[in-house]
Amino acid sequence: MEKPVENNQTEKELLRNNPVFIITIACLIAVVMSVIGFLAYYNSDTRRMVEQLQINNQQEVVESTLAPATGDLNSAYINSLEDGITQAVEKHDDDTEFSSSEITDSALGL
Amino acid sequence: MQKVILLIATFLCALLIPPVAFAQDGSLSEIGSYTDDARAARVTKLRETYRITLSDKERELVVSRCKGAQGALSKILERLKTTRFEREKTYTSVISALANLKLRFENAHTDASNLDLLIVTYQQKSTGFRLSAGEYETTLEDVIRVDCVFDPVGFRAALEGVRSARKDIVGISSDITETTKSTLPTTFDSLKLRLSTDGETSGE
Repeated sequence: MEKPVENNQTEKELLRNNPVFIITIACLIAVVMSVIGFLAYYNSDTRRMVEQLQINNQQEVVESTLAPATGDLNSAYINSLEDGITQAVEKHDDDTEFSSSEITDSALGL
Repeated sequence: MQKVILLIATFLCALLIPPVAFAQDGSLSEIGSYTDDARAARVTKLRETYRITLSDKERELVVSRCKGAQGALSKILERLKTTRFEREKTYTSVISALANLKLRFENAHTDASNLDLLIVTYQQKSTGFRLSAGEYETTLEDVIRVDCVFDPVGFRAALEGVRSARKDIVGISSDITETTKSTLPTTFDSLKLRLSTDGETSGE
C-alpha cells in the first residue's frame, strides 16, 4: 500500500534535483523580469526624458542652420538670419499640409 | 511540488504588481486628452452645433462608405502628426535664433527692445499653432473612432468638426507666415539701422 506514496516522494525528489527543471524555472523568472524591466522603462519618465533630449538635440541642429551662432554682429549677419528664418517658415506649405480638398465628401468617398 | 509552484506564483505576482501600477499611471496622464466619454461628449456637442439631418438614402450612403472615409482620415491624422512635429521644431528654432540675437545685441550694448515684441509674437503664435494642431488632431481622432455605422449623424457632425478645426490651424499658420513676411523684415530693418547708427559692433 505504501508503494505509490514512496513513488510520489521519489518523483518529487527527482524533480527537485533535476537541473533542467531548475534551469527552466530560472529562465522563466529571467524572462519575466526582463519583460517587467522593459515595461517599467517604457512607462517611466526616463524614457520620455531621453526622447525629449533627442528632440532638443535635433532642434539645436536646425537652429544652427538658421544662422551661425558666432561671427560679427552686422547687417550681413542679420540678413542671413532673416533669410534662414524666412526659408524655414516658408518651407511649410499650408495648402499642401492642411489641404481642404482632402476632407471634402468626394475625396473621402462619401 | 505544490509548494514550489505556490512560491513561484507569489513571487511572480509580487513582480507583476509594479508594472500594472506603472501602466495605470501612464494612462492617467492621457485621460485629460482623450477618453471615450470625452469623445462622446464632444460628438454630442458637435451634433447640437451642426444639427445635421440625414435622409434615409443619405444615411445608407454614409453607413456603407464611412469606413473607407475613416481610413482616409487616419492617413491624414498620421501625416498631421509629422507636420505638427516638423512645424513645432521650426518655430522653436526660430524663437531660439531670435533669443540668441537679442542676447548678442545685449552683449554689444545695443538696444534691441523691438526684438522682444517679435519674440513674444512668435511665442504666442507658436503656442496658438500647438493648440490648434492638438484640436485638429482630436477632431480627427473623434471622427475616426466614432461608430459611424451605428451613428452616421454623429460621424457627419464629427466630420464638420474636423473641417472647422482645419480652418483654425490654417489661420494660425498663415499668421505665422505673415509675421515672417512683414513684421520680421521691419524689425530686422530697424535693427540694422540701429547697428549702422551705433557703428558696427563685433560680436562674441
